[in-house]
Amino acid sequence: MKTRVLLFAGLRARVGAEAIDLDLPAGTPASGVFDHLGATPAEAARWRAVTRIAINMTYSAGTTLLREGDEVALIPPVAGG
Amino acid sequence: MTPPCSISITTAPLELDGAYRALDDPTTGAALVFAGRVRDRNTGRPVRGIRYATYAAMAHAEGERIWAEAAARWPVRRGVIWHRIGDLAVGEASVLIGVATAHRAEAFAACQFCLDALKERAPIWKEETYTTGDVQWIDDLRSSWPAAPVGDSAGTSSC
Repeated sequence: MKTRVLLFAGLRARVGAEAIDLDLPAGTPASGVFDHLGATPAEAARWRAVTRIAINMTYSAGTTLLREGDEVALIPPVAGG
Repeated sequence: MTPPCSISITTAPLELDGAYRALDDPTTGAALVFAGRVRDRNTGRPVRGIRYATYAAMAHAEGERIWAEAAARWPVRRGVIWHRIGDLAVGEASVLIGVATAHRAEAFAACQFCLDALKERAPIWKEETYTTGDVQWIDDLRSSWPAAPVGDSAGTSSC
């Protein structure tokens, strides 16, 4: 299941890429993408705790199951306005 | 039907005159524009400048959602939701939120709602440069992740 994951701000700097393309098993929940960023489980858990997830430009629960072609964005704490 | 709102995520300087013009409507007695500006200090440290980055398509979509919610709660007639991205100096406007309504009470309330919602929800991030030369993403969680990029990287590193 092809999934594009967009990275921003501090998370983009840490991972070293604006986007990564993953091939995930069908039925993977959105929160599962944190396990594919190259971090230790403890560090992935820290990010998962404060990073929101958007699927196709809409905030979504981490439990939402991903579908083929979804564009996932990981949204670290925002600071607009 | 949702009343019109000018929504813009732009690198161009934000002009107050333009915002007021976008709120023109002879049925409205109240036109209110809030301007957020870059301050010279944050958490006690002197700021030299700010760089805003965004997930532009979603910021625009979220702006539309916020306006629709405001329109459902208050009798707004026109709106402006403008955010600047890129490099800004101290004193420059980062955001203009504007509302035009028949009367003033709902203008203040709707404007505050849109601003607060934008600050909480818009996918926009801020990287501050201090006079010391230090650069930091606001709310960045310092961690000890390895510096090497992951194997499936599709893009190049850029903040």
